[in-house]
Amino acid sequence: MRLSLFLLFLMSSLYTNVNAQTKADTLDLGEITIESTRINKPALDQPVQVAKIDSGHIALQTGLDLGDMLSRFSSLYIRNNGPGAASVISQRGFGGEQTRVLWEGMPINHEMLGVTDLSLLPANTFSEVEVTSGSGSSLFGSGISGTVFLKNDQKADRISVGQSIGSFGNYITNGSASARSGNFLLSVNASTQSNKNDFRYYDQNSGSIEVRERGSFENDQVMGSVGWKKGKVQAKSSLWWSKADHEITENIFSGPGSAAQYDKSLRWVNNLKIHTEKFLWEGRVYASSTQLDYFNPTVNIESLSESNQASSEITGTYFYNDKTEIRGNISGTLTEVETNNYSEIKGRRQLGTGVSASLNPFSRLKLYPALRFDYYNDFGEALSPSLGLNYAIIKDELSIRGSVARNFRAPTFNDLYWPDGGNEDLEAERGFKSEIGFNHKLKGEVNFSQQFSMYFIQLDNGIKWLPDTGGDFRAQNIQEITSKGMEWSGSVSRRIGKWKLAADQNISYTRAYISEERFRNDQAAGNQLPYVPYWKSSTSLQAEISGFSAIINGIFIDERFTTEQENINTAADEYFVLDASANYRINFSQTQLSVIAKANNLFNEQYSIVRFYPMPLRNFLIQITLTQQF
Amino acid sequence: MKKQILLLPILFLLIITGCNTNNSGGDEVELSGVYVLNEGNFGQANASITSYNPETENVSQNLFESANGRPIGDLLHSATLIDDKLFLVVNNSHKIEVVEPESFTSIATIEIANEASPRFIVKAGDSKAYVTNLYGNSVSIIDLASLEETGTISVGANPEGIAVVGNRAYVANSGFGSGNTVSVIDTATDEVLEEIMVGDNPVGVQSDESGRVWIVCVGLYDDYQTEGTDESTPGKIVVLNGETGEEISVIETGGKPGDLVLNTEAGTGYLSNGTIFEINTSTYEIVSENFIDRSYYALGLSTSADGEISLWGADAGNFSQNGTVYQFNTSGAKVDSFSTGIIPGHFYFEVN
Repeated sequence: MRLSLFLLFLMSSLYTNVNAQTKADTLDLGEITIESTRINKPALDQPVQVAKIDSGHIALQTGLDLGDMLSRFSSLYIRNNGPGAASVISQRGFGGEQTRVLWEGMPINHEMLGVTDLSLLPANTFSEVEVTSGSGSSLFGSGISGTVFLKNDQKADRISVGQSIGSFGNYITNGSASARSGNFLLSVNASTQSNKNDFRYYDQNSGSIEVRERGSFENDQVMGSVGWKKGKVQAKSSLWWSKADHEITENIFSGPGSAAQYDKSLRWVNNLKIHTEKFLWEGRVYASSTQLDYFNPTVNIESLSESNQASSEITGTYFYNDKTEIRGNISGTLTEVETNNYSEIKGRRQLGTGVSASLNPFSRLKLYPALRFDYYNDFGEALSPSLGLNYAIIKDELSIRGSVARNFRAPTFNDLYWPDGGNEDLEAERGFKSEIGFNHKLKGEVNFSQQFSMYFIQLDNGIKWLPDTGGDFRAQNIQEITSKGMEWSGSVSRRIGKWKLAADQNISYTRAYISEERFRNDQAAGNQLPYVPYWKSSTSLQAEISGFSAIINGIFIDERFTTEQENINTAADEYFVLDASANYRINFSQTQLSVIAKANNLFNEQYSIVRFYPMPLRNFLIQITLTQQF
Repeated sequence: MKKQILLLPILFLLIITGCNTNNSGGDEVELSGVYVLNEGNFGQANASITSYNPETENVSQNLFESANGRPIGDLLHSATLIDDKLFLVVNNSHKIEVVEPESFTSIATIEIANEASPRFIVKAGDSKAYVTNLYGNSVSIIDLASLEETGTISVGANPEGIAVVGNRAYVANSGFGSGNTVSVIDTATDEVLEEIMVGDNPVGVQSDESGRVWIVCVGLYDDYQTEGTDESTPGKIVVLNGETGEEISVIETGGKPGDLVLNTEAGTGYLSNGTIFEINTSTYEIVSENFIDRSYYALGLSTSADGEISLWGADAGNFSQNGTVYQFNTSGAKVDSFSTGIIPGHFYFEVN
């Protein structure tokens, strides 16, 4: 924490020199519209907190999965059992089931589990990632705490190949190509990674340094898209195939185990946009097939599953005038899950329709009302209203904002149909979310932006597996959770001579607890939820000069309770991890050679995110990439 | 948390079906200390040991870690006192911690090979002990001098409880619910003598002073994959003559019985089976199906220095927070209670 505070001070010192600097050479942060809130306005005008991780940051995070990257560059807390193991989002105290992950606007949370395993997604598969704190169900449907929005837009007319070699047998080969021809833009990127993850760690069980076993991981990704644009019509079709094979290691007290998991997915999304003078029509068709097979020979478990989904959505936006937009949409989704865990194939039909608006009744005030209705054939319907506002105190510089929303989360297939405990009578989780904060941005010699939010979320009808009156575990709508806290993020950048310097910081405080007893003598009521840190801070410092760039990023995670009773004896220790990357680029005409060197966990911190699942000590990775532009 | 999320319900099931029914207090003792083995959550290595002094009502938590400066491991399943050493079976750490019974100071750690998932340990002769291995489908042989595993004996599928009468060791082959036999091992030769058909899903095994072997058969669970049919069978207790293996009696308990504790001197046994049953161990009759009107995850039976018999019931709550142990007298009246660690699953009573 001390280092994070120091870095915060460093950021402040960058900013305090604003007026002293006279050179009018600025590092432009850019006016970037936000897609993760479906409000196509700059961040300054948004009613909720939004974090955007751009391609520049992502490019330097080679070798990291999406969870690692989000942990470093957003306020999200990512829970995982070590390298190669599952990586699940926790946002504002809520779990991966309550956070919606969207790829090109379509949800990719696993139908049975409800979560997205971020370890399966290499960070540099995506060109851009947005994290929003909760535009809510009124815009995207099921989801309580927020949205992670993944985009894949490749730069045109280039071909690139890269090779990475890292510690613990980590090899990554990746390539991408894109070309523009007439009205078409074609792009493809692919990567293959294998990682033994046989790192050394301190073992509390044996009291000695050991080598981690059964953490090997292989991951192949291919993503391609075809875009077409003519006049006011544009279309894009994207295909994403992925495959991951990985061993599943146990905690250090359980031995390496014998479990392994095999994931495969194929996702296809097609978008069509038609602009007219007063309307924007958007159509989207999506299909996906996901396989998740788990084997544990020791306990004779062979779990096979295949989930198929098809959905379509039509959205119409009416531009009444410069100040008023009204958007309506209708969507339908069919989901089918076949697994040897269920007695039969299970399906879900979902229909959603909603209307939202962007209103500008006064020059400084923007209102964002929205209302959505969802119908599910398996558990019923949900009505989700929301209202957001943004008031510019200083135009283009400082705005205050607030939002209230009623959200819901659909039960997962496992909640409904898992044998001996699944409960087909479950209802949706319901959540009330409110948030206030401000957006602040300064442009000049020094570019500075910050966002601050205070939030309150109340979850009712929360689904929890607990013993029923007969003592058998059963999914029940029994949990009420309150989460309140604050998030601050700041970015500052400036140029000093030929140097470009930038710094980013995220600080969050989360108090999330069971607000009412779920059963008689429930000892969890009022206690911080397991694995929700009170404090999290991430900091990055970036410097760039003529082809050379470097980034240092640190992350601090506060102590986490691992049980429902705030037992300090079994808490997972706080940790601070510092990573560094350097990138050198040499250009020969149209060809660029890029070398990235990364050192992770520079201070050799012995830590674990989940107790007794050790993380690697200091480790390294080098990547060489050759890019040819046309 | 990869596929583990998907498996969580299975783990819950494992925890539930893993409810031990080994002898956890049938010996008549002069009680000076009650020790509760808290399994902890599967995969989280938060097992612990709680002690309770009935005279002072003093409760201490986390005894093993306090004594040894390290956690005990993942899923502490059972404990047996052998030759003045206490053998703690740590199931999902695939080891047995051998400790001083009064201080819990570590003497040795016995690693069970091949991640075989040890469940219960019992003395099987002057110089050795047997350990049942749930996933190893075997019984490990432990040399009590070197405190090492020296070999294994193949038995039926997924063995759970074990008891020894004379030179015959009886091992319940649970088959994870599908078994219906006990394997009988000759402790002199370490060879399986025979398999005896008992009831469906035998889990708990214990012997008494009369040389009888009490086998708790939980009964089959319904197969969720064959919807529309009910394949479940009721539970029962099969009593064998330990010297010969012949069946003495069958007590049709119904339900899905769990822990059984015996006080054969008093002619009484108690069974957790939805409620607490009282059983006459002489006539093999169920005296009461409602001795206590609720079930407990684990039962213990103790005798104090002044001859007072107590029944102890461990309430695991929601299996993710600290449990509670309740003390009952022989009338079934609640006498006392104290808090434990997560999932109290086994009792060990200290003898003066």
